[in-house]
Amino acid sequence: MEPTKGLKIAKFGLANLIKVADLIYFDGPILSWFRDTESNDYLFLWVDADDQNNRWMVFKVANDILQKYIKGKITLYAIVMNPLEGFMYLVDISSFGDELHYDNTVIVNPSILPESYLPEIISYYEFEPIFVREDINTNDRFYAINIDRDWSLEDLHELPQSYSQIYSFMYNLELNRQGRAITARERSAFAKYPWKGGFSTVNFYNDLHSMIPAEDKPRVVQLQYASPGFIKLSLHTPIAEYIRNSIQAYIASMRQIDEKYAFVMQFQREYKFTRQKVEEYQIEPEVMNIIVEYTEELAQMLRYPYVAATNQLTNNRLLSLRILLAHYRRIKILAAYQIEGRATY
Amino acid sequence: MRFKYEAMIGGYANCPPTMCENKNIMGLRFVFSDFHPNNILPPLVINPKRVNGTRFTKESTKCSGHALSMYNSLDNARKAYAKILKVAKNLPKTAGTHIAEFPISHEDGLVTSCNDEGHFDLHEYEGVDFANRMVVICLAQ
Repeated sequence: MEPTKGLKIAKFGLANLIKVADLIYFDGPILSWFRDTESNDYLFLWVDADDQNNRWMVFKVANDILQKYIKGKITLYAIVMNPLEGFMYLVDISSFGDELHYDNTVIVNPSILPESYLPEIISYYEFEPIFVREDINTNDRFYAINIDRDWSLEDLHELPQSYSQIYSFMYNLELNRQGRAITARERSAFAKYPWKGGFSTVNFYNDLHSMIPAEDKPRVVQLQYASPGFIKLSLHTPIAEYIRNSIQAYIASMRQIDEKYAFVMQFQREYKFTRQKVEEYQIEPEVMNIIVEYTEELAQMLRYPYVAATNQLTNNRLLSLRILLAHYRRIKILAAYQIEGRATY
Repeated sequence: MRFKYEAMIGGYANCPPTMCENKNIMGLRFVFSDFHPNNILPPLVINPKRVNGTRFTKESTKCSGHALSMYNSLDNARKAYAKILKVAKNLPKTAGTHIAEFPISHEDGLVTSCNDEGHFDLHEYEGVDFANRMVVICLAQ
C-alpha cells in the first residue's frame, strides 16, 4: 500500500457508526454511507489494499452535500477535496474472526493524499445505492419503514399518505396481474376521473384503497420516533417489496427519470392534455405513438410492469400515461426521504 | 444437479432464483492475468465471514454472493470497470487487471437474467471448474 503522511492517532474513533447504504459496490463496498448516533453523516471510500488490510478514507459530510452527490449534482472529487471538518482519516481495516481491527489511523489533509486515493475530477454519481434495512420483527404480515433524523408534522402526513396511495395502486394492479378478475368498480375508478390533479387524483386513490380487503389494508401497529426509529405496518408484504423496488429504480436513474418527466409534462402542455380529459379518438395517431413511446420509456425506467394492465383498465392510453406520471410523483416523494437518510423502505 | 456451493446456499429461500436458466453464453469477468484463486471464486467464498456483513442481510444477496459475477459483453464489462475506476483508482489491486471470457454452457450451472448494465450471476454446478477454460482476452482498462 502507499505510505501515508499525516498525523498518526492511537485509536480510530468512528468504529461504531451505523451503515446507511453502500453507494458504490462491486463484489464488496467501494463507497459506503454511515451515520453516528447524532445523525452526522460519514463517507467511507475504499482507496487501497494489501493481502491483509483494506484502507479506507473516512470523512464527515454534510447531508445536503451527500444528497447533491447522490442526485448527480456534484462530484465525489469535490467532496473529497473539501471535507466538512477540513481533514479526513485514513484507516487500515482487517477482519479476524467476526471482529474488525482498525490500524494505522492517520488524520490527513486532502492536499497530501496520494494521487491514487483521489477520485477523478469528473466523478459524478452514476450507480445504484443499496440501502441497509434493519428488519424490526417483520414477517409475512408486518413490515417496517425505518426512520431517522428530524421529522415535522407535515412529514408525518406526507410520507404515510404517499405510501398508502402507492400501496393501494400497486396492490390492485398486482392482484390483477396475478389473475384476479377486474371489477366494474375498479374499471370505473381508473376510467372516470379527468386526471386534472387535486381532488380527482385523491379520489382515485381513495377508490382504490376502498377495494382492498380489510386484512390487507395498511395499518400502523407500532411507531417509534427515535434515531433510529420505525413505523411498523401490518399489510400485504409483497406489495411493500414492490414499492421498495420502485423507489430503488427511481433512485438508480433519478436524473434521467426527472428529465423524462419534465419532457413529457412539456409535451402534454403543448397539446393541452393537462386541461381536460381527452378521449383516445380525439388524438391523432402520430401523437398517440408518442404517448405510447413515452409511457413505455417511463415504465421501463421506473420498472413499472403494469402498462398493459393499466391500459386495460383505462381504455385510454393518454390516461394511462397520466396515471403513470402521478405514480412517479409519489415515488419521488418517498425516494426523497430515503436520499435524505430519513426513511429506509 | 447439485450446486458447487450447495452446503452454503441450501438454506436460502429461492436460491438460485427460480428465474435462472441454463444457457450457452459467453460471460466476461474481471480477473488477474496470472493464476489467482479469486479469478474463479465468488465473493462470499473468498471471504465467508462477510456473510454476516451489512451488504448480505437478505437471503437474496447472500445467494448472489455465492455466484460468479459476469457481464454479457466486453463493452459492458469495460464500462462497469471504468465507472468504478473513476472513484477507486486502486480497483485493479482487488478486482483484477484483465477481462477473461468464460464460455458458459448448459452443463456449467444456472445464470440469472442480465440487469441494465449487462451484469449477471452464474451459480456453478458441483464439479465445474473454469480455471483452465477461462481465457484472458484484454486489459480491463
